[in-house]
Amino acid sequence: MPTFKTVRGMRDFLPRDAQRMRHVEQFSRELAHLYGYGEVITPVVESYDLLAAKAGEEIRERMYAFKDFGGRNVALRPEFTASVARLVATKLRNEPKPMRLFSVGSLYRYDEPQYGRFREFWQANYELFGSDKPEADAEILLLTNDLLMRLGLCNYRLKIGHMGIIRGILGQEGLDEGQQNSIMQLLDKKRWEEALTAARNADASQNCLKTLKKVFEIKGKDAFRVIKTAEESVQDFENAVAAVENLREILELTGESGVKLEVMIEAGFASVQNCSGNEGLSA
Amino acid sequence: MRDFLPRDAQRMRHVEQFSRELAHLYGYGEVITPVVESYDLLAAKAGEEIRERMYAFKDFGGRNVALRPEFTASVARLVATKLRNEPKPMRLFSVGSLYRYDEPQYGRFREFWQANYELFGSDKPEADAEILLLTNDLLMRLGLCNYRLKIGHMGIIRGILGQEGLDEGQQNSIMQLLDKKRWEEALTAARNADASQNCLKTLKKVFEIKGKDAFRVIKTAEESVQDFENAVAAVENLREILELTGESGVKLEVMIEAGFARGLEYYTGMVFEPYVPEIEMALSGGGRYDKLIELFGGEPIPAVGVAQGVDRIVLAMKKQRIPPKIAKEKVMVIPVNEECRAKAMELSSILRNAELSVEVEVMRRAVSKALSDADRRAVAYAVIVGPEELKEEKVVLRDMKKREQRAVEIKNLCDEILSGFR
Repeated sequence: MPTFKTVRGMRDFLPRDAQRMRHVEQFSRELAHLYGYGEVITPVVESYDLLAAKAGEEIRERMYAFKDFGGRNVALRPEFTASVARLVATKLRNEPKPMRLFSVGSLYRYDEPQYGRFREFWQANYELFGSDKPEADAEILLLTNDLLMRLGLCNYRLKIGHMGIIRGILGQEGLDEGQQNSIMQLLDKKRWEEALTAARNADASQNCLKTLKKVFEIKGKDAFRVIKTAEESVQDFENAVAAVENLREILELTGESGVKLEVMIEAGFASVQNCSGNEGLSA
Repeated sequence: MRDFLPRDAQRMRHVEQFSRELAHLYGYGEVITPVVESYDLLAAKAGEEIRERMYAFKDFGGRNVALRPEFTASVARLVATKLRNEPKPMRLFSVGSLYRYDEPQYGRFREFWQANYELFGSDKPEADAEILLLTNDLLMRLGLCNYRLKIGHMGIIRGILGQEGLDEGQQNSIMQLLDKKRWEEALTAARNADASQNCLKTLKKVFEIKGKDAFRVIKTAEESVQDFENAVAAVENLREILELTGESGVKLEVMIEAGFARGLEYYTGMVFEPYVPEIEMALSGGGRYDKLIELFGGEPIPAVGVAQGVDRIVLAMKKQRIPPKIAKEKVMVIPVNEECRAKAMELSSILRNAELSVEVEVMRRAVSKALSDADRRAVAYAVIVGPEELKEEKVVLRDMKKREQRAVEIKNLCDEILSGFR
């Protein structure tokens, strides 16, 4: 008799763990309701092109991709955002804005299995479409804080950055989006030196390199002190200043709304998943 | 593949959560197994038809894998391995999406959802009866009407064919034909397998035995199969199961069919499918499969279970115009100007702590624009946060339906809104 096992990177949840998983899932669904996010369910199997369109090279290479019987290139979703964006661009196109959408379920990436990382994993996804105001960013931060707090977690801290800081610097230096993206990818992996080298190779000025170096080191738990330092450091780069200013507004709003967020502000923090500011968030 | 927009997604999650609560009420522990499983596991006992329609591919490691077309293989794997030493009976629940490359048609999709209940370790009719009662309970509590359980027993036909000396493969092909209601071909197949005249005559009679009066049908069946010992035992088993459900005080609406077979090869005993008049397809499917676990390397463990079709149940509920679970009424909080934004967010948090569903204005629209948006979204109350009122620790509370508004003290805001809902 063969002994059947789970496929590598996949796992079973026995009742005790399954109950915890479903508890968090149901909890995040109730939170979505409290914040006015409507749930959508999208398929696990999507067209490869859709999923690859904005996934970033790293995720793209790790998708479970195959041809279905009709010869279509399909893949198992590695994240929710592409599917939700598809909905927003098509079936939900005429819905009034702002639009708040929630989705929850399993996602698939062919990563090397390691502690806490599996090839099948679950996310509860909240996305707010239609507002570029800091109120929207603040809502996503507060919602995340609310979820973790209500679940009873202690000592959590939000690491926060703003893609516009580095991009503002690089953009003013004339680096195109592709060059910026490769540098952001390196930052995401904390490969600071390589990021600097990449900027140097793209003909960034001495002032730019000096500024980047300073920015990479700006971090701290005292949000407004960090923001002040960042603002001074990037003063020669208009869009970077605007990004810092935006971050300040977001954090001021959360603070004034009476919530004490524990944060770690990192001016050089990049997350490859989300592309513009930090609206839209997978919690 | 398809999307569920909020209204339908809510119905799906309602049925899912409902079946989870029912699992809890009946003592079924939930397990979560992967969508991607080894091809060999899923193919082991799937029946040719399902096997050919699996989403199968090689992963990057060159492993043959597939998307699960049903839960039973995965759950059987657990029972044969990680849960091997758990005490019996073992009741397991699982719910999620499944994948079959069928031709899409009304009510049938390539991604579909099931809520799956399986009871391992008992070959007694009590276990079969529990699965029937649980199914009835689910459909009833969800508000469905006029549903009826089509019930048969694989042992009747298998008992006849087995006594004639047909091997399992021959029996399986005949069962597959019966599943598709191809009675004549089934008879021909039996004839070609050298079945006796008495056998063919009996089969023909059995195919015609059906009816809503369970015990009358069972009596007829018993008489018809009297020459086939195992078939008689199967009918007797079915009688016991139905007697138990009846005596437990539940009036099941049934349609007994002696020649009813389900497509999956692993069924060995009672099989059933619930139907509503509005839809041609079965809402769910279940039965007994006593020989399955050993196929996955475990000890022989008797088992009975049911897979409730979540999306088909949702379809039936819509057809029967069962209203969706009423969503809690919504509140919208609107700051009058920028300096009130943070206060608006703060008040939103307070209202959410009272379990209210709150959308806060994040567009910086004029109050009048935000209010007309609130109207469109069927918001029940708008809370308008302005600097003048804030000086007196007040905000404006607007009843969107009555189109009335007045200033209320912030400390009374939750109570004002909640009492309006009562």
